[in-house]
Amino acid sequence: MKVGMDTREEFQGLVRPHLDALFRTAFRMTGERAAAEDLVQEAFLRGFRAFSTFERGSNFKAWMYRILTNTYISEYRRRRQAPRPTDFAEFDLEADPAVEPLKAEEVERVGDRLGDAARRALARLPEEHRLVFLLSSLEDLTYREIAEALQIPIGTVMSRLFRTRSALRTELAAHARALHEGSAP
Amino acid sequence: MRCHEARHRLDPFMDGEISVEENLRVLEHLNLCRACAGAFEGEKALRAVLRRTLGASDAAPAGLEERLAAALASPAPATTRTPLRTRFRWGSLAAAAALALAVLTLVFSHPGRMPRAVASDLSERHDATRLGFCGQSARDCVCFCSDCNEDGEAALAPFFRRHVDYDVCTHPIEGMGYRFVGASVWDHEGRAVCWTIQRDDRGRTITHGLVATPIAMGTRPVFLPDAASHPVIMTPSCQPGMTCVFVFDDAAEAERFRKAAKMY
Repeated sequence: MKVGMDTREEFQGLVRPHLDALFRTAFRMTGERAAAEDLVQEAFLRGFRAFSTFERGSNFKAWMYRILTNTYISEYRRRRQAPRPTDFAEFDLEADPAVEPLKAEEVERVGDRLGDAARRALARLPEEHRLVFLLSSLEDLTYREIAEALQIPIGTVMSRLFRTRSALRTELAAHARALHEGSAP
Repeated sequence: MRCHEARHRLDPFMDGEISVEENLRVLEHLNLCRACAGAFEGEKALRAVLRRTLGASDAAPAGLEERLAAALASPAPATTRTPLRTRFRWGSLAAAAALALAVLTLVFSHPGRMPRAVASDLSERHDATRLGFCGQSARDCVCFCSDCNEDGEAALAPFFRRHVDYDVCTHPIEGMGYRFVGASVWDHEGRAVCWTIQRDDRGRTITHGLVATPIAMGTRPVFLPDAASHPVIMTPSCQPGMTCVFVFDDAAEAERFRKAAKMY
């Protein structure tokens, strides 16, 4: 099929508003800017090749995220040599009920110093949980969009998010309190 | 609504994912219950910190949009090229370094696929080519051992000429104890990759592919130690618009090559 300039421009125009978000997500998937660029480019080319199957009027953002995720899974993740955590052995995804959730003033006291701990905790998460969390919390995709992007049921999106957030809360609460005690005079 | 119900709904409530009716019930509970309101405020503050620290300023790199557009617009390479009748050979690693330096002075700004993606593809080919093709000489591959081929390495240039209409650089790496064991021509995204395979006495292999696929890279060699299953070094080729890709068995050998070729 010969692809006209109009199709190309239409596709580029649709991608443009989401490019930063796609790159951010790719960066969080791969952990490297160069690899993220490669991933975005690969997804972009795949998206363009499949553009004729995109139903006009449906959610382009979720459609592109699905392509990005599939590209990542098929092209990048399988090539990664180091084993990734695939179970919860290292990361207890059950919230500890004994841990009191953080209060706003406790969070504000340590502020952005929590960022490193959050990054470490996220890196240890099983990938499928991390992705759901990133797409929801940082990219503001709706549950339905995430379900569509990752091709999983909405119920799975919700349970993964719930478990991930509960576990992060527990871990970050402990960390924030330790930070505060460490900095106390 | 009880506390445990409200806590369970806190996330979808904050994500805007519950019905209007449930939304009102959660709000009502938060107005009445100080403990749950505290948990809600804490979660709100935590989300703000995570957003600030994890989500900040990862804008797409400058020029990415233009590179993507160029990748879409990138035409297939011309089917006929002016043949270069000079066959480049690296007699020694010193010559290799000299050639690399000469090549680096050329402006090489070809829009195209990202190096890492191409390296990943080619790195996988290393496993298929690394042992050579002894006893299997066929249209797309040739073995240089005396049993298979009387001409030995001299068969290299005619073999490539049968497949592509440009001369293929081959880069002997004798200085590191490698010698040619075979060559092949395989397709990469509809374009030829001309491979040579060299092996040393310990059975270590370096494959070299001359790649005609446009790759978005600068004028300096690119070292990709973890591109895929094997480390890869790419350098702009002496052929305009092409790239030399070296694939190594392991990181130690790639490092030895880089040091020997002064490729830092």
